[in-house]
Amino acid sequence: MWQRVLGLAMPPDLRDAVVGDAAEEFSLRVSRDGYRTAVRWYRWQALRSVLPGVLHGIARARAKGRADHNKGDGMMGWVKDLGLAFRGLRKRPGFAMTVVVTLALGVGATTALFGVFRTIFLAPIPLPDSHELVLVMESGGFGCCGPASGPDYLDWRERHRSFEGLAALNPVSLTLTGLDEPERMAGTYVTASAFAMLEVEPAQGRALVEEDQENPSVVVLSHRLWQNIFGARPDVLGQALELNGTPYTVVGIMPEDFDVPSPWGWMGTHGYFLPFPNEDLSQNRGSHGYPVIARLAPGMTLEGAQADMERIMRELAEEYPQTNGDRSVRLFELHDYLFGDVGRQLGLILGAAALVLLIACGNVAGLQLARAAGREGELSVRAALGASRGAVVRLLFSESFLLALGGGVVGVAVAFGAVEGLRWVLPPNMPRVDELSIDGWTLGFAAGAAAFTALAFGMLPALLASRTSLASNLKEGGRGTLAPSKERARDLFIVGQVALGLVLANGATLLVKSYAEVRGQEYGFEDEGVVTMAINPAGPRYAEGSAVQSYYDEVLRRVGDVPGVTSVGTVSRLPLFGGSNGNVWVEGQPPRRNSGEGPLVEVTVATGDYFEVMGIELLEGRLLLPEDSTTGATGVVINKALAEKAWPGESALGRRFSYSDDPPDWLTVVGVVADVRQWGPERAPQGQAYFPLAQGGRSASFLTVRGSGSLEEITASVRRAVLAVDPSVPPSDVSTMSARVERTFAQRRFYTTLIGLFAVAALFLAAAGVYGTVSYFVARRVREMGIRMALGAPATGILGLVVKRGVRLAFYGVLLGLVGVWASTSVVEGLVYGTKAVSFLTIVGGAGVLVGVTVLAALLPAFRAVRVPPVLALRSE
Amino acid sequence: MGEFEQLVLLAVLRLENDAYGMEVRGEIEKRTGRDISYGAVYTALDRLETKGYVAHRMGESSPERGGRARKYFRVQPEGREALRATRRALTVMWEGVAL
Repeated sequence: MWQRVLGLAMPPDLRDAVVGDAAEEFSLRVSRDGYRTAVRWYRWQALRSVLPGVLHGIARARAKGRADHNKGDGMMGWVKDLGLAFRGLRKRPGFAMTVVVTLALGVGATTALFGVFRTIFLAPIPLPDSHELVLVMESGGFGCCGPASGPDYLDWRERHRSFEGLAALNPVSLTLTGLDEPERMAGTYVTASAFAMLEVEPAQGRALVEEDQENPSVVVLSHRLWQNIFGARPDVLGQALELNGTPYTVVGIMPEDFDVPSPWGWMGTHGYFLPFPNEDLSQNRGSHGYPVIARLAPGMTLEGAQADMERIMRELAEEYPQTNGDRSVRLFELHDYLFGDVGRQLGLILGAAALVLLIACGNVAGLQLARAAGREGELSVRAALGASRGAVVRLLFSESFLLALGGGVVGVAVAFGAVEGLRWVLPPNMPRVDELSIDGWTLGFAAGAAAFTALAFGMLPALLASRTSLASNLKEGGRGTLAPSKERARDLFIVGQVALGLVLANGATLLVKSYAEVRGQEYGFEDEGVVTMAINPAGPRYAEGSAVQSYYDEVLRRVGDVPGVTSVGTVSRLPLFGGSNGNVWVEGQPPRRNSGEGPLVEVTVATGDYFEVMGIELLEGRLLLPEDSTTGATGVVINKALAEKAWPGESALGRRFSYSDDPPDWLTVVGVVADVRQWGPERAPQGQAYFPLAQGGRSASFLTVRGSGSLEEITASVRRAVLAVDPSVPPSDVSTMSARVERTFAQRRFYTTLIGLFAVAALFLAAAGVYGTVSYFVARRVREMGIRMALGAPATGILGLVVKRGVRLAFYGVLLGLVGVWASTSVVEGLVYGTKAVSFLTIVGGAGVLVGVTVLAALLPAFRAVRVPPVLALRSE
Repeated sequence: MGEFEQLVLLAVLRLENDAYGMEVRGEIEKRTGRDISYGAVYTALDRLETKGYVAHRMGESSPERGGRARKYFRVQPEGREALRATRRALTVMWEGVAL
């Protein structure tokens, strides 16, 4: 115990020596004087050592505190510096506000976009272990990629070695009848395996089972449908739900947020899940309409599964050369397929925002460096009084820290506002828009961005400025001319800003040009003045083709009578929105080896005056006549692209082609029309064949109406006319053609606008930064200019020197910017259409602007300075 | 330099300029009859080391010391100079003083 007392009394670094010596002497005394005496001695030693030890400890601590205080180290120094920085900023509110606002805008914009990026792209699909889910698509002579056929799916299910489970879907839009107002609603047929594979239990009732697929008469509802249509009634299980006139018994309700993922829509599109009829699965190997999703088996990779599926496709190609001869398979990670493209585009915008933030930081860094130059006298005095370099850095950094803190806090507020704003302007077809919010991760990102800005614009100038040379600075009186290393740093900021501004400007210009190109494409039809809506007669009443024909005939007649309607027709798929297609055998060509050979031709059903409504020009022959629908004649109208491909240099009239080979079902060309871009504005027109209703089968149709006068009124009247024919067939998806066309561009427009905004901001910031920094430093060289003029240098010579300097910096910035443009080519090229990835006009223009600003920034203060009489300049101490 | 610090320095010098705490304490006790504590000795040595008058090296340990090493001190040239200065000052002040 006394040993502990002795030890504790002493400072730690003396403890061992003291205790050791005392122990050694104790040992000697024991043998000399006896144990008891030795113990008494030891006790007395311990007690007497306490006071000197404690006093010595206190004296040491006080001495250390004084040293810390003089060196500027320790917590107290940090707090003092922050206080000093705050007072300094308060004296210059304009500067502080400008910096905080600039940073807040940069941090806020970047944070908001990160929030969007995270919600839309980074967030996983809301299903258990969703990273294991893959999409299995078929590829072939037509390219990549399309859905599978039923028999192919069944074979995959039998022969695979790589999946825990597979499921096939058939997304549909059926009419919910039996309500006050019938309503078209999206849902899907799905194999029962889907529920087990997706590992989600129903919230109520049961999921679909294999037996249901024999004779489908049951349905499982989504949570959304149960809430919206059934008002979340607890007794809905066992009730009947009528879809297209057919009753289905409700057997289950899935939990909220559940959906079977489909490649043709985001999660949450399917309102109901019907059993996939086995009959449909086992027919028609050559007809491909069913997307297939699968879950990888534990330990299986995408590449392994790909190889396995390719093996199966090779077997099928041998067994069924007609239908599968040239087909293969391609697997996609589901999340990447659904969100990859949009994620990549959002990532680009995020990158642009980050560049703007970087430029803003460069601005502030340049300013901070300039201000530190003006404080060199003060810093030298501090160093002379014993402040360590670390203390000086901390002093200079404190201000940046406070500014970044302010920028970060205000930036978060900006981010909240920006996210709300983005919710309004984001394209409606963008996924997960309603889930947008600022969460913990996004706030963390904001904090990181603010910290980054503090380091970026605060640390480097602080480190540089703290390398003071005492003697020269004190003599100079802190006149603000920089040491060479700091000059280089300042120059580097300017060069960097010019370069970044140029890169961003180039990217933005190209996107704008690309957008204009795509918009300016000739689509082959006239969208102004056209109203469209989907009508789908289905159910037992329309089991016969003749009933469907009668229905459409009546609709066309009634709608044609509506005041203001000039022409009306129907089409299976509107132009720009895809369709279904197949390869054809052209008569006169050698027989095909398999059904994947021959020109690819769109199948489009068109009735009435469709071509007139859409302004599609007839080039040869005639258009489809009403008789073509009823007589079952095999006359079809084709487009110019197919005519040129199948019969180059000849007239296509009277020529024949067939989709099937054995036996062929010949279709005779009765007319040739102009091309339309059926597959979107960016894909060149393909071969297209327009069928009358009788041959085209019953496909969901769009009513197209051209009118003069108020489209709103015409739309309402047309709706009424359609309902009057059969109230159980409600029109849905009502929109003008122009609005549809606009919506296809919504995403592209969104990206282009945002990046354009960022580019403008970037150029502005870069110009402002360059101007501010250059003019500040020129202004500080007033004295030097005075000396030069006193020594006889002409004013023009001095101006020339200053301007040359500025131009040189801008030139280096442009060079670096060109490197950046070249480096960013691969990124930009993926996003532009119809233009090259480098815009010379922009580079020249942008460079001109930035060089011009630099020259101006140098010239104006220099001009003012040389007009001051040299004597006054020299006196400006 | 205080009187006690002088005693400590002189003790180290007397011990062939390489002494650890126990030896210094023993030397002072033997010569002056003063029984000083280890706390006093080591705090003085620590102060002298801060001033640069002494420097230390670590020595051997032993079972009696509980495995703790000895800390040997030697007087530095600055320490010798300080002693000389103190002696000069005292000599000068003592001149002509009769007690």
